[in-house]
Amino acid sequence: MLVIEKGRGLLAYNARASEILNLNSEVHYQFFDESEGWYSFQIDGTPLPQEHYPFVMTMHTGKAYRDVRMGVRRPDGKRLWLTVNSQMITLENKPYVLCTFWDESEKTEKDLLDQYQQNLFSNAIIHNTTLGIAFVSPEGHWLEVNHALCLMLGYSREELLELTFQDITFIEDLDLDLSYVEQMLAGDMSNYQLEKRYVHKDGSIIWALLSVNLIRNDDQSPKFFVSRVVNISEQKKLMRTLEDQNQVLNESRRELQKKLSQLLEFNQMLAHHLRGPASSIKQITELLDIVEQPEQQEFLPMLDSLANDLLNTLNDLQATIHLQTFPEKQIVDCYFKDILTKAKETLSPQIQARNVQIIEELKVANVRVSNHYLEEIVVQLMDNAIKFSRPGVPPVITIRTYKNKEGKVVLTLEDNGLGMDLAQYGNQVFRYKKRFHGNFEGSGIGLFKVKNQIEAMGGTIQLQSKVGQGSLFIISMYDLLV
Amino acid sequence: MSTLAIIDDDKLLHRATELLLRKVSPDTTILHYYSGLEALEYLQGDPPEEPDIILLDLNMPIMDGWQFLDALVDDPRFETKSWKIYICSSSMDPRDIQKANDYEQVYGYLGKPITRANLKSVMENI
Repeated sequence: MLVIEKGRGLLAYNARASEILNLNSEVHYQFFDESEGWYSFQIDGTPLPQEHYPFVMTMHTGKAYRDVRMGVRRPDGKRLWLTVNSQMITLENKPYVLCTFWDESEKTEKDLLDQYQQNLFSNAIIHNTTLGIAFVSPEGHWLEVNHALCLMLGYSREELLELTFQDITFIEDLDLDLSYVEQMLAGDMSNYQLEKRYVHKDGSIIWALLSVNLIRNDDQSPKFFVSRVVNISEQKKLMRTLEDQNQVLNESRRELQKKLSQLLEFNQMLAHHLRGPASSIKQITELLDIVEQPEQQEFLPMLDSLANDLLNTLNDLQATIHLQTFPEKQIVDCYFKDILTKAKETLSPQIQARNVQIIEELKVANVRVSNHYLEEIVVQLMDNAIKFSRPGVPPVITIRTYKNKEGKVVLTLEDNGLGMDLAQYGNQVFRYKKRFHGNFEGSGIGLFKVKNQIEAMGGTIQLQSKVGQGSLFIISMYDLLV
Repeated sequence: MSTLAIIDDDKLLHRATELLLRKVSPDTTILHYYSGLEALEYLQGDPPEEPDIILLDLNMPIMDGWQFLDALVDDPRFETKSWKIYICSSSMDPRDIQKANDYEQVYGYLGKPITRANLKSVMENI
């Protein structure tokens, strides 16, 4: 507490005031004088002129001031923050200024530090960041944008404030964004997040992760949106690369699986058709060791036939491996009409002998594959259809072509022949040297070869069949690129 | 006196077993079947002569070795039988060997060709 006399200065002070201000008897009249080393400042650090000291103002105006915060640097250099009240009092009919004050240095310094940090923080999140931040009006106008958003979209702040978010949203992503905005305005959502594309000023596409909150007025009417925009273009690009690579990988995997199942099939060929005769030959040499001369004779024709079996199987195996690749010059536009004409020519003796009726329903005229293979496939299947026709029933072969849902060209061949029990033989039909009609001649490799030829061209073959009704072969292919 | 059944479409194995047994175990009776079905029908007919040993091929027409084994598993009449069944196949496919081991009824796996030593140990193990 201080008592100040107009025109003379400090008249009296109490012990607490002396303690806070470090007063001694010599400073009384030069109190708060800059020439004595006193210095006063405002909360923002700028100097506080003497005429604005609360007690000086009270002295001049007669008014009271309350809770004025002022900074004071004492002559000894210590900095203080004081909260000051001042008012006029009358003592013995003379006017004086009574000034009471508190030392709030500690609290004020802390407040100032907090405020400084808060400023730094808001600077960091608004200006020194890669996160785009904007206030957007309910109609979509940019009200305020930070530097990062400008950088991201290629516009200056001034340019952006002239635009709406609709103006720079990639057209395909606008409807979804607008529907979210509508739901927010209607109060159905308090915030939303979506991945969307903006169009950069240079026309390029910016992928962004957008999070939006709606700020409302006290009366709950929408005030503005706070939008936070993260540029995820780079991640999107990486994702796309990854997806592309994944797709290539998947295709390779499918290709490998196909190759693997072919290998397994070859292995089966080896197991049953090479190992069999080989172990039989070994069996005979074991026996030759223990039997007498006359009995040895019975094994010689066996050895001969086993050696033949071995050679035949080896030839077939080699031919099948050879089927896996075919010269590019064979890949041409194959017209089914021509293929069928050739097949009918090749098979004309059988066709005439059995009075075969051939029906053609060709919805697709051609497919780009190996013409050589396709001819052999058609001939083989037609030959089978005639060979395995039902006795006494004139064979009818219906050949259809069409495009399926996947865009593949489908060739089907249906007969009214013997058919076969797929429940029993289903998985073996296309195997090497499997024969199902014991009374008929056949090498047992016709369908095996057909399947290998089709698979070599990237196609598939399926069979539907019923005993006594006929069989339906379904071949799916696609145009091969050269 | 012991009885051995051969179930195999390969005539050579029948002949080889015959010739080898002459050296290894001359008084063994041999029963010949050329498919699983043939053997099954014989065994289901409650025959006077039952085999102690069965040599079973896997890859046969009409009823192969697996189908024959499945038929044995499904028929309660065979539960008490103590035949020793040996798979006798030229397939050295590990999957076949594993599958064979999964059958309780299978006693062992003999490769082809069948040798004098193999057959000797089978006959000594009755």
